[in-house]
Amino acid sequence: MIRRGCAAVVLALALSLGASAAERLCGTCHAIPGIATPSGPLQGPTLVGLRGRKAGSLADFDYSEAMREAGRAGLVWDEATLRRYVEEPQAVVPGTFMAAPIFRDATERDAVLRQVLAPRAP
Amino acid sequence: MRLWHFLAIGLALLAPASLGQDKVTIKSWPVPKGAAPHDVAADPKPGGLVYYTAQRQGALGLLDPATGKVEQIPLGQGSAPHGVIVGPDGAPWITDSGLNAIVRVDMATRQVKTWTLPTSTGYANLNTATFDRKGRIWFTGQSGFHGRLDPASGKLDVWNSPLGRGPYGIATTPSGDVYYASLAGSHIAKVGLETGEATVIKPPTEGQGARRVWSDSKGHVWVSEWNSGQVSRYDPASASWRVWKLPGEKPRTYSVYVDEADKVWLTDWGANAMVRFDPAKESFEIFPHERRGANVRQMLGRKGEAWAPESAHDIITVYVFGGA
Repeated sequence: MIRRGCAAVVLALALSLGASAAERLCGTCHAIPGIATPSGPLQGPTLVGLRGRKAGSLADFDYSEAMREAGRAGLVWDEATLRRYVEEPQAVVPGTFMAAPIFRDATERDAVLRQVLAPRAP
Repeated sequence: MRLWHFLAIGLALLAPASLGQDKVTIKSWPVPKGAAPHDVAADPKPGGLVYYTAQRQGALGLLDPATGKVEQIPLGQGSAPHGVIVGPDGAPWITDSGLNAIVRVDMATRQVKTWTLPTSTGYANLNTATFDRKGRIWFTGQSGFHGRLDPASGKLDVWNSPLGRGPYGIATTPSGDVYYASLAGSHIAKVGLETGEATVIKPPTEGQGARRVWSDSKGHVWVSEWNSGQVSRYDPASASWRVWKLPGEKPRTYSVYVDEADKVWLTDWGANAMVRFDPAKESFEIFPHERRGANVRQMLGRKGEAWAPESAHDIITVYVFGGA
């Protein structure tokens, strides 16, 4: 019982870390699953429903041509592709407008990835 | 301290571009791989150092254009510097979003001094800064803040910006007024220098995405409009606007800088080009970047020179004009 309780606390802390870091690093430009979307136009596409989405494919967002090209070339967002992208955006999508987020460490990076790839509000 | 020394010969890229009426020479230097230079500021002295923020390496970069020598000064654990300007004291001043602080580097001692925002502010996502005529530094935080630091007293004030999220570029006019642009809020604002109160001024185009501002010699406020791909000019005296669309199929106007001849330099991410606008002739000159997706996020200059960091390629480029 105690072990299960500890696991729940650890999970809650991880989700909390992911939410706060994702909001800090991504929330200015993107809507993020589980986090209230700020009002007004956003500079980046929504990250809600990102897992499995073809790059540059939302009809109602004005992507860079580079991102549309990447989608046409087969780039689909999952943990592996998104990890590579946030680490080296220009290497994955040459010409992309997005700057690399500055993570404190790999733990924070992975927590953010879990948050933005969440299928629904965690 | 890490030191890089690049030989100018062979590594500095030189490309004369005699487009339009005024010959412009373009020269580039590499900075350390992975630096992701975000903003740049040239010491006003001719031939002086050029500073840049090495955003992904938590450092202030120093480029000596005469030799190509590059040096980076670490700003501290967790640093992610966004903006840099040269203050009236001749020192580089930095808006550091990672540290949530305003940072000054003493160039004589290389000492780094930090003024951290109050804990109550939270993460401001610090963006850009400018000095007023009283030696106080004003700054924006994209999370929805603008603020002021008086270096003499250390007093630091932060205000919630009207309409919330979005404050981005900021600049001072010759008369000492301070304006900032709100990207998410699609407006510019004039700040009360003593009260900190920001008065919203809306450009004529709805949802235009005012990203950066700069003043010309007459105090007109020039605005780079990201969403609309336009450049606009606000005349405070008459409270009137003029708006021009950049050439090309799908312009995205990121940064703006007005030189000493009141020519307006812009970066267009849609065309991947530097653009010079002549307000008198209402004409544009285009200088395509050599490298795809240069991603020039800001410009600053000094007499005869407009400096631009190519953030995607770890390159600093200067456009030399006017026979300087």
